[in-house]
This record gives sequence, C-alpha cells and structure tokens, in this order.
Amino acid sequence: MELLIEFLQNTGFGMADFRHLVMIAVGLIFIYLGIARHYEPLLLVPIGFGILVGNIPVFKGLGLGIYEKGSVLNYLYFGVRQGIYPPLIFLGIGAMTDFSTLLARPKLILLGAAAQLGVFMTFLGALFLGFLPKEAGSIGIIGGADGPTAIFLSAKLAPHLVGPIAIAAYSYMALVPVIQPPIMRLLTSRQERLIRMSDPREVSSQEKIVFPIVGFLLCCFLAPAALPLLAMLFFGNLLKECLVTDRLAKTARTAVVDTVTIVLGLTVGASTQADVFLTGKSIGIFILGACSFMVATAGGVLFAKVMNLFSHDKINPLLGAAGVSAVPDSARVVQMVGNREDPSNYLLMHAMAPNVAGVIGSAIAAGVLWSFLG
Amino acid sequence: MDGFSAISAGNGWLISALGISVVFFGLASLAFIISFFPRAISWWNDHAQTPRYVFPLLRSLLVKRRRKVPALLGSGESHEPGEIDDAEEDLRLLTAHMGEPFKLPRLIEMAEQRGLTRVHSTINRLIVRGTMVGGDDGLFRWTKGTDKKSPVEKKFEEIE
Repeated sequence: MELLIEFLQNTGFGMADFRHLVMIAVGLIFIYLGIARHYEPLLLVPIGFGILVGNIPVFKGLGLGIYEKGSVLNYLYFGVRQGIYPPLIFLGIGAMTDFSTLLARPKLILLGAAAQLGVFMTFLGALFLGFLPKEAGSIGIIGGADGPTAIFLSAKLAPHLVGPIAIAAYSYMALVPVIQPPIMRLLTSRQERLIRMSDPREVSSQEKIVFPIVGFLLCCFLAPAALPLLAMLFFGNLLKECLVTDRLAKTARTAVVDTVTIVLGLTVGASTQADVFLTGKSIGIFILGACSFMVATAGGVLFAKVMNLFSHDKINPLLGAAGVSAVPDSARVVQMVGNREDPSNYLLMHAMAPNVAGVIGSAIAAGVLWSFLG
Repeated sequence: MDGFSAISAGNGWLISALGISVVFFGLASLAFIISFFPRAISWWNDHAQTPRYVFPLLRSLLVKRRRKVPALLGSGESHEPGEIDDAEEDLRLLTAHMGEPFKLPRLIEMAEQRGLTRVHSTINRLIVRGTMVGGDDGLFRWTKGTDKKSPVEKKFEEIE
C-alpha cells in the first residue's frame, strides 16, 4: 500500500500544482487557435504541444526536463540557446520570399523601417519598468514581430527569457488580425483607406538576382551583428532567384524550414516550464509585447501619412501597418481592412513590399541591439 | 532601478536614437540603390558586348603607337580621300533612324548589317575628329557645324 501511495505521489498527478495546469491550459489554447482558428498553425501547434511537453511534472535529475543536461529535449534546445535555428528559418524565408514588389516600389521600404519604432519604444518601456538593459533589448525586439529574430536576440542577450519572449512574439504574431485593425482605422480616414495604388512595374530576373547580393552587402556592412540572420535570408533568396539552384531552394523552403520549425516550436514551447515561465517578468513581457505591436503598427501608418505629405504618388497609409514584419499576416490584414472600405481595392501585393522590408529592418534592429548590449 | 533614471542609466535614449537611425539609414540606402537597378541593369545589358568594339579600338590604339605619323590619325587603317566623309554620311543616315543620342554598339551593328566596311575605324576617326562625341551617359551624338578635320589631321596635311 505504501509503495502504491509512493508511486502515485511520483506520477504527474501527484507532482502537479496549479501552475502546471495554467500552462497546460495555455498550451491547449495555442493548439486550439492554431487548429480551429487557423492563427499561424505551423507555429502555434508545435509551440502549444511543446508547452504541454514542458509542463508535465517530472523528477529533477532523471534527465527528462528541457533544462537538464543530457536530456533529449536539452540537446534539441541547444539550437535555440546558441541561435542556430533562427538563421535556418531565415534561409527558408529567403527561399520563399518574392521581393518583386519591393524592387518595383523601393520607397515602400521606408515603411518597414518606420515600423521598427515599436522595437525601440518597447526597449525604452522595458527599461522604464525596471528590466535590465539586455532584457529590455530582448523584449524590445518583440516589436519586430519576427519570431526567429526575437528568439535569436533573446538567446544572445537574455537566455533566461527566451521562453516568455518567444511565446509573446508568436502569440502576438498570431493575433495580428486582432491587434492591428483598430489602430489602422483609428489613425486613418476613410478617404485615406480608399486610396488606390498604381500597378507596380515589371521587375526583371536580373534585378531579382542582384538584389540579394547588394542587399546583403549593404545591410551587413551597416549592422554586422545581423550577419547570421541576413546572410541566410539573402542567401536563401539568391538560391530561389538565380534559377540554377532550384533543388537547393526547394529544400530550403520545404524540408529545412519545416524540420527547423518543428524542433524550434516544440523546444520553445517546452522551455515554458511553469516554474520558469509564470513569473512577474513574464507578465511584464506580455504587456510590453502587446504595446510594441501597437506602436509598430502606428509607426508604419503614421509614417505613410507623412510620406504622403511630400509625395505626388499617394500611398495608402494602411500599407504602413504591413511594415510590422509578421509575414504575410500583416499584409493580409492590410488587404482585409482595405477591402472593407472598397472590395475592389487590392492592396495585398503592395503590402508585401513593406512586409518583407520589415523582416530586413527587424534583423538590422536586432543586430544593432546586439552590438550595443551584447 | 526603474523610471526615466533607469532609461538614462542604461543609455536607453542614445541606443534608441542610434538604433532607429541605423535602421532608417540602412533601409533608405537600400531603397535608394534599388531605385537605380533598372537603369544600371539596362546599362549593363547595353554594354555587355563592349569587347566587340573596345578590343578593336584598343588594338587600333596599339597600332597607332607603333606607327609614327599615320598613327596621329587614329586607327592606323588607311582611308581613301573622301572615304571618311562618305562613311559619315552613311552613318548619319543610320542615326537619323535611331535618333540622337545613340548607342555606339547599336550603330556599329546596324552599319555592319548594311555592309559598311571598316566601321570601327571610321567611327574612331569621327570621334578623333570631334564629329561624333560621347556624353557622360555613355551615349553618342553628332556635333553640329564642326570642322570635319581635327587639328591633328590638319597638322598631318601641313606636313605632307
């Protein structure tokens, strides 16, 4: 009988407390959002399941938990801790991304830069709330709305916050359709939302080949700390555009990115163990994360309006919201909000320009923060 | 520590100001460079066959150095009197169709298609003479009302 009681005490049921149940509920919500609501399912489902994995109470010392040296999960988590997975994801993103609209209308790149205001305002906000500078930098990058970039920077600057930061970043990326539209409507008039964009010019294949090389050299000379991310992004894009390495490009955008997404999502989810995750800091990170998305959206929209003051060729200011680099969700939101005013106004194609510029911008911002704080 | 003093202590203002400036500068430079892509690539495409006329030109310059007096005229290839003027008329007819300013490789191509001989040499003469001039944009145009003989050619005639 004593043995039975001891056994029961050593099961998950015996060791669990309310924090585990809270985190399991969070994991279930992620899985629900991914499957039922189709919010970033490729990320939320692995992360949600990872949260379940990480919050099964286990004996410390048996080599099971993600933070225990020698455990399988710990080995897989190595790629997160050392910032290996994010560049591989960037390789896949590069091999998937078509930069044509950005090349056709280069001035829309500036909207991607304006949206990075969210990163630096959140950095200030985090310092204001008492976070250490390195933690503040990691929290600030949530405003870049780029999960891999957020994981990469926080792994370098504040490894103990990787879990909450990654969860906040991916949660808000999934919630872009909820967070952005009210801000976009608040900051624009109906007349502005009805602005139609002229068709972009046709972009030659030569331009598409030259762009990743020039873009890489320029951005990495300016912010060398962004090298691991930007090198892989532009390299992936070169593989796609040069047409002679189609096999490599196909592997990068399918097998490589899928494998890494699975491992990254699962391990980041598993790193949110209740005792590590449910702290006051995590709540602060979530509040700041939401603010950073709002500021980034507002920054992009307002900058588009400022550009319209000086330009004859008016930009629909909704495009500014796509500078938040949640690819392609924020571009889809722009299309959705624009469509509500005028169902025949197609903004998606134009919104992809600031959207992909936002990816480059957030990687540069991460590089800059790493240079200053690393 | 928290509040504004924490921001100041962590160099928050400076890092933020520099950070956003670097991001803006980087992406603005990228946009600026990208805006030149179509022109740069078009220029490259137009000059991709540069060796076709540059090498003969260089060869002619080498020959010019080896020769003494005739080299002053440019290509080193001999032309019958009046031949350059006839060729100039032909080339002017061709460029009338092309419009000014014109691309030299295109003119050479069209001239060769129409059976004109020693096109490179003729054009070299016209450039030396100043009848045809190149602009900063890499395109060429005819000069109006120029003396058809260059000072070098006049000097050569005086010597003869």
